[in-house]
Amino acid sequence: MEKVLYNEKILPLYYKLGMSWEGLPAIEPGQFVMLRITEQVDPLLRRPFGVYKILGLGAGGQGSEGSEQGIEILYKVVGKGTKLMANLKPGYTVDVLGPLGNGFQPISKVGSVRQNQRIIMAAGGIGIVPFYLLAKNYHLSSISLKLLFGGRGKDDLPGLEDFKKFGIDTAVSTDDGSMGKNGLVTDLLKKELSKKGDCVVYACGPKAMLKAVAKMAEDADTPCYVSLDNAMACGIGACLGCAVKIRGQGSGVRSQKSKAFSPYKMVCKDGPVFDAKEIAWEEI
Amino acid sequence: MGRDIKKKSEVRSQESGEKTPRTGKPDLSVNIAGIQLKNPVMAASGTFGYGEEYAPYLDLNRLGAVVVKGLSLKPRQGNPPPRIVETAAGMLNSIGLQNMGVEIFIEKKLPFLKKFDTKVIVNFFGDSIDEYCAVAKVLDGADGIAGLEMNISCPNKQEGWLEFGTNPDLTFRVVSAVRKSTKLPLIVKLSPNVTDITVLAKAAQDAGADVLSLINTLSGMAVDVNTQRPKLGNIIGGLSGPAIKPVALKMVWQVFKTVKLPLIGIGGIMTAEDAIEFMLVGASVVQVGTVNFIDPQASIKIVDGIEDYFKKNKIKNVKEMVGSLRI
Repeated sequence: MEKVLYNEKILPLYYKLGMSWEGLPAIEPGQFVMLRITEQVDPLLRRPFGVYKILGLGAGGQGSEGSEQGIEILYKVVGKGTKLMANLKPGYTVDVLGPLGNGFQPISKVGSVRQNQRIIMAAGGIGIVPFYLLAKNYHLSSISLKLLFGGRGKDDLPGLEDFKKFGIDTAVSTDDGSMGKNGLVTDLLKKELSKKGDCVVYACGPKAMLKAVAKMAEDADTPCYVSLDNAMACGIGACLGCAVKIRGQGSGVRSQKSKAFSPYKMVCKDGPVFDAKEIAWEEI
Repeated sequence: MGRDIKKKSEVRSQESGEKTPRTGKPDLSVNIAGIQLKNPVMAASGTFGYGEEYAPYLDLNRLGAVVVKGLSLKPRQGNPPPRIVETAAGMLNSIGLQNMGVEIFIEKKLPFLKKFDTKVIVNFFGDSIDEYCAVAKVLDGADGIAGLEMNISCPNKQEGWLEFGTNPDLTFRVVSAVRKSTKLPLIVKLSPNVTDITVLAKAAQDAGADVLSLINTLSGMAVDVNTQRPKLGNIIGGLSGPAIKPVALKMVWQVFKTVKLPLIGIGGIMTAEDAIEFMLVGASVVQVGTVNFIDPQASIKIVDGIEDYFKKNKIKNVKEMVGSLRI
C-alpha cells in the first residue's frame, strides 16, 4: 500500500494525485498503473492510469521532482471511481499495481526516422498524460519536440503549464476557441506534417482523434504510435477484456479455419502503445 | 438420492474423530474424486489466464489448483469489444471464450504450469457433443493434468443453439458422452441461468460426473443512457463478483442437499470469510475468480485466512466444515 502525498485540483475536472512508491521501478513514458483506492466492493475493479510524473529520484536516475520517491497521476473525474479518487487526502493509502504495458518506442528504434529528427506529440485532453515523461526524456537532446495539444475548451488542457516550463514548442487548439486555435488538434497536425524533414508522431487522446491522427500520418507516410485506453479488469493480460481489433486478420466472424490465433490484441499487455498501422480503425 | 443432512453430519463427526491429527495445525488438504489438493482454494477459469500471467504476482505453489481458461478444439477469436463493464459490486463480461485451442495449450502453456506444485485443472467446452468429446480425448492424452472441468453453459450448434447446461436431457447426454471419452476426474460446471439448478445437478450426477462446480456467471446486461446502446459489444454477458455471492450460496446449498457428489463453490468470493460461507453450505472446495483481477494475491490470502479460521474455531480439517451449516 502506498501513501497519498497530495491530491490537487488543477482545473474544474482535473486533478493531480501524488503518491509515494517505495522502491519505485523504472517507468517508460506511456506505461500505466492499476490503482485501487478503496477496500470496498463498489467500485470493484482497479482503474488504469497513465503515469504523469516520477517523483523523487526514480530508478535509473529518472525524475527529480519533490523529495519522496513516487509517482504523480494526472486524472479527470469521469465516473464513480474518479469521483471517489478526488476525495483522497494526504496520508490515505492507495494500492498500486505496475508499471504495466509497453510505452512509446524510443525514437532510436523507429526505423525510418533519419535526419532532422523531430517528435510530434499529439494530445487530446487527458491524453496529455504520457507526454510529460516523454518530453522529459528528449527535451535536452538534439531531437526537436513539438506538442500539439487539443481540448474542448481552455479548461480541458490539463498540465499545459508543465510543458511551458520545459520550454517545449507547443501549439494549442480548442473546439470552442477559448484558447489557441479554434479547431481540432488534427488541424495543427496537418500543418506540422507539411513541414520538411522526417518525424514521428506519438498520439494519445479520444479514439476519434487517434483515428484521424493515424490516417493523416499514414497518408504522410510518417511513423505513428498511439496510446489506447480501454475498459480493463486485470491490466496484466489475463481477463482478455481490453481487446482491440487488429488490421488484416479476418472479419471478426468466428472462423475456426483461420490460422491466426486472434484478430484481437490486448491494450493492457500488447499496448497500450501500438503502431497506428496495426489497428483496425474502421472498427473503432 | 440426496444427502440426509443430519445423518451426514453424524457420519462426518465420526470420520473426523478417527482422523484427528495430534498436531495443532489444521489440515487444509482435501481430496475430490481422487484429486489430492493441498488446500481447498482454486483459481477459477477465465480469471487466471493460463497461470503464467499471474506467476510474477503470486506463488502458484500455494494454490490448491489452477483452473485454466476454457479451451475448445480450435482457437476462438472471442467477441467484439467492449467486452467488460463494471456494475454495482460486480462486473459483466462478454469475452466470448477467446482461447488458443487445446493443442496449442498443451504445447505452449501446459509445460510451464507443470513446473509448479499445484494441480492443473483444464476447463473446456464445445459447441457440439462431438467437440466436447474430441477436446476431452486430446486432454486425456496429455501429461500433467489432474482433472477436467466441463463448461456446459454453451449453445449446442447442432440442436437449435439451446445451451447444454439449461436442459437436463442435453446435460445428461453431453456429460455421458464426455464421461466415456476421458479417464480423468470430471468436474461439471453448472449454469445458474436455470429454473431449478438441482435438476441439472442430478442430470450431471446421473451421467457420471465426479464433481460439480457452481455457479458459472449469471446472464445479464448493462445499458448506456448517453448513447442509448448496450455497454457490451455482445449486448449480453455474464455477471460475476460479490454481487452474485448470495445467489451462488443458495444454489450450492440446494445442490448439496440434492446430490452426493463433492461440490466446488464459486461466485463472488473475495475473502476467506466468503470461502468459509461456501464450505458451510456444502462446498468441499472453492474457486476464486473476479477478485484475482483486483488483487492478484487474493487466493493466497484466502488460503491463509481459512487456516486462521480453522485454528481459531478448532476445526481440524476441511471435511469437518463441509455442509456443517447450523439450521
